[in-house]
Formats: sequence, C-alpha cells, structure tokens
Amino acid sequence: MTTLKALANLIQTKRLGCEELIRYVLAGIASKNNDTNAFIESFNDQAISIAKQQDKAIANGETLPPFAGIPMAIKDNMCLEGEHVSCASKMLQNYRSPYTATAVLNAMGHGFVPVGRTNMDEFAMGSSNEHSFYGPVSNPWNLDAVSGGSSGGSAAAVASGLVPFSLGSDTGGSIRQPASFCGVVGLKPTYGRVSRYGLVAFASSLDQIGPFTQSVEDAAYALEAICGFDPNDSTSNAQPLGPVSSELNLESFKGKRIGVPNELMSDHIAPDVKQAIQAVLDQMAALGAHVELFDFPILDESLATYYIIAPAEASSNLSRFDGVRYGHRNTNAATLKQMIQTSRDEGFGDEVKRRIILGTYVLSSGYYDAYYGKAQQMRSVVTDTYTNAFSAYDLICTPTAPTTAFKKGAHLNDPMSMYLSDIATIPVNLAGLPALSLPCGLDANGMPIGFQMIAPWFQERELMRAAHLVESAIQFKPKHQLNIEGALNAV
Amino acid sequence: MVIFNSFSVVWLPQFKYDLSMTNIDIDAICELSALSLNQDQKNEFSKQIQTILTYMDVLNARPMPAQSQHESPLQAVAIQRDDQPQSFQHDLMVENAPDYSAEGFVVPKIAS
Repeated sequence: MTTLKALANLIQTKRLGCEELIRYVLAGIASKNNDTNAFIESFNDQAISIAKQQDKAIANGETLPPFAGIPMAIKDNMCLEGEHVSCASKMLQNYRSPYTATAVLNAMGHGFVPVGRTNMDEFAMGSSNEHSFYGPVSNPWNLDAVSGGSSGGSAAAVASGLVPFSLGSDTGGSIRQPASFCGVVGLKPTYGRVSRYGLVAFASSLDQIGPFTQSVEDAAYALEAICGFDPNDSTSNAQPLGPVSSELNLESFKGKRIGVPNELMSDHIAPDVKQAIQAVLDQMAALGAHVELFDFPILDESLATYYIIAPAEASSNLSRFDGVRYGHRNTNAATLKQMIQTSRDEGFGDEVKRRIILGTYVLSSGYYDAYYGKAQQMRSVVTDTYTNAFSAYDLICTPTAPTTAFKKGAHLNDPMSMYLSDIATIPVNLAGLPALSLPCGLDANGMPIGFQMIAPWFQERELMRAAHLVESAIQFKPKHQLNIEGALNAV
Repeated sequence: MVIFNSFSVVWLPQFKYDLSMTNIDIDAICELSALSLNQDQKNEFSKQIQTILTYMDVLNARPMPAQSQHESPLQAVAIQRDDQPQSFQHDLMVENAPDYSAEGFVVPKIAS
C-alpha cells in the first residue's frame, strides 16, 4: 500500500524529489479528474513553488518536516491564502482566501503540500455530493453511484488514488459517510481537537475538520499534523493528543468491552452491511473483546435534533452572504433589500435555501421553544446516553451508514430520505465525540461497507489503536492507490 | 418501513406518534431568511419542510428531563481554557470603525 511513511521515505532518501512527486500528482489530477469530478481546482503554481523550496532546502542540507513534499487535498471550505475557496457554491465562486486555515497551516508545517481543493455539497449541506455548483462527484468504485457527502470530493480523491491524504469536515457524518461509501478511512476527531479557524462555518457547534487516508496509520499521522490548541478558535481545546502513530501496536482486545447499539443492527440496516459488521464484531471477539448489544433508543430523536440545530446555526452563519460583505451580487436590483434577496436567491442552491428556511423557521418567534429549545434539551440527553454507555464500554461500534453508496439521483427529490442516511453518524456530532469509519468489506454489488468506531471524548489514541488492529484483521484491499512506481518511473 | 431496491436499502421511520402538521407561513419565513423565492419554489419547499417538521415531532413525544439546555457538545467535559481574552484598544477600534453620517454608517453605493 502507498503509505505516507513510504512516500516520506522516498523523499528523505532522495529517490524522489518533492517537485517531481507534486508534478506527478498534479498530472494525475489533470488527466483523471474527469472520471470522478473530485477536484474543483488544483493549486499548480503554489504547490510547485512550495515543492521547489522544499527541494532547495533538502539540497542545502536543511532539516525538513517529516512529510515534506507529500501532497494533500483540502475540501473547498477551508482557506488557503491566495487561492479560491467557494464551498462549491455560486455565492463564493470568485472569492479568494485572505488567510490560511489553522488545520491547513499545521499540515503545511509538517511538510504537506496542498495540491488542490476538492468538491463538496454546497456549504457542506448534503449526504451525496450532488448539491454542488460544480456538479456531482462520482464514486470511484462505481461511477454511477454517489460518493457520499458532504466531503465527497475529498473521499473520492483518496479512493481514486489521486492523493494519499485529504482534509474534510464533519458536521453530521460528512467525513465518515463518504469514507464508508468510497472505501477509505475517515476520522472525525473530538470537537475542539482541530481548530475551525479558516473553515467556512456551517453549524459551528458541530463542525470538525478531519482526515481521509487509505490506512489508519496514515490517519494517525494526519491527525498529529493538523490538531492542536488555537487561540483563534474559541472552542479549541488544549487537551494534549499524545503520541498516536507510534502507539498503534495493540496486539489484542483482551479486556476491552465493545458496545453495539441494538437499533443499528436491526432490520433497518441493509442485509449486506449488517453481515459485514457482524463479521468484524466476530473478529474482534476472536481477538479477545467482549462484544455486547445494548439499547440506544435515541436515534430518531438524534436525527430530529440535528436537523433543528444544524439548520438553525446555518441560517445564522449564512446570513453574512448578502452580496454586500461577501459573494455573488445581483447588480440589477432597484433597492438594497431586493439586491440582498436576489443575490442570495441566485447564489445559493436549493438544499442551502431549504436549510436556511428550516433554520429560520425553528428559530422564529413562537416556534423557538417548541423546536430549538427541545432540540437543545435532547442534545443533553444524547450526551448523557453516551456518557452512560462509556461507563460500560470502551468503544461503541456501528455501521457507518445503513446502506452502501446509492445511485445518483435516488434521493435527490426526497430530502428526508437523504437525511436518514446519516442516522448512524449524527448522534456522534451532537455529543462531540471522536469516531472513525474503516472500510470492512464489499456488498453484493461490489461497493464498500464502512465500520464506525466511536470512543470517549479525547480518546483518539485508543480509538486508532483499536481501529489499527481491526484493519490488520480485515485486510481490506483498496480499489486504487497512488502509484509510487509511476512516480519513480516519471523521474 | 424498509424499502429495498436493487442497489440499496433506505431506512424510513415509522411514524408512530400522533402528529399535527404545521402550517408554515412560507412568505414570512422567506422574508426573515432574506430570500426571494418564486411561487413554485415556495410550494415545493413548504411541502418538503412540513414533512421534515413532522419528523421533528418525535421530540415533542419524548418527555425531557428537567435539566439545562445544552449548547456546546463539550459542556459536560470541557476543560477550561487558560488563555485570557484580550480586549481591543479603544483607539484601534475607532480607527477601524466605518465612516458615519447623520443617518448611519456610510457604505459603498451598490444600487442605482
């Protein structure tokens, strides 16, 4: 497998130059992106310029960060100074970042080179990546299927072997669900673990940045690179991560208690998915884990809570896009009010408008207590339910999604059925927990199935140690990966 | 209700609660949202949002414990930050304030 460590080794032993690798990856994006539409734009000039500086530093004998010259992609809702950031929306089509997001800056500090911005559902609102101004993203395993969303471009970019690592954001499952659909590893860290500074806000109390990679070890390297306290984010947390990538050598699950919510192993889950998840649980038990089903009777309520809180926060966050301060402006309007309304109408797509309207409604006078107030109360119940569960279990395991990737257009006109594809991931965001999706098998149609592992707050290390052991037991084979031989032959 | 098709399975909830549909004044909400939708869009969104709000009624069917509302995901486990927020200097604030006329803030002309 093409790992970050293997690529870094090639650079450090001077078998491959940083510029050579970056040019090879950029050429791959240019020639293969039409298959999936994973990338909106590549950062050719900036990426090559950074790589040249890194090569120069290597030639001068300077000590470089561990992942110098390794390409990464960033979701189109994270700022990189001087480059476009559009949130896959007409509203921000021509907007350029005035500064760089902390997570991106941290990754660059570890040597990673941003090579492009990836496609997504507009303003991260969607579960299929069909709500993008730049068109849908195809699933690399079956081009007629969706990639999942909202970080579908980041997932497809890694799954199609264009880059070894990408960044996404997860508000209700937007990293884990596309990771599941595309057969890659997707990690949502604890809320506050990774700075949100420079991430265009969707729902601020839920958003969290995380990596997509082909392996758990790579996800550990990526997490170590991007996390850390940031005074620019008032919700950033100073809890230390500790070493993760060097501590993945868990040998068994002896003494570990694994809880599996009954409701997520019921007949509501597609049979192939349920079977694959059961097979992984059996393997964990064979490795010494005590696996137990438990009642988690808050799934419907969690989904309802999420679809009140997230649109409520979105309606507030997106009020800044008015044609005056940011974004698209209608120049034919006769009055200021008309200009703002028509700019927003022209700039936003249907899903964004739907959520703004829903969010405005649940916050409006007379309905606030009935919807938003109730949702905030329910959020406490969700957190308490997880707290109780983690007093009995070390980890909670579920399917990442009830199904594998569905066909494009299958749920486009039925928002409620689309929202239900996030049923297994949403409660995690409401509680702010860390969780990871690991590919664990294929369904009868050859589409990947995701295994979700959830850990207590700030226990990413234990989460990834466990995930690494499961990964070793499963031996899932990715469909595509970055071709190192191709890069070496291109030199 | 579980719907299977050849490619995937979709989970739809069983509406086991006594629900009352909410009549949405879509015009008022559009006004508050600063959106100008055409009538077709209003009809479509109104119908879809009523379906979504019907689902939301699962919350009203559930008794909630008497506890404070929860606004941050880490409220229960948050570690207090040790950095102190810094206030901006008054002079800097004034320097960066927008121009002001008798009627209010001066903004660039955007409509003829």
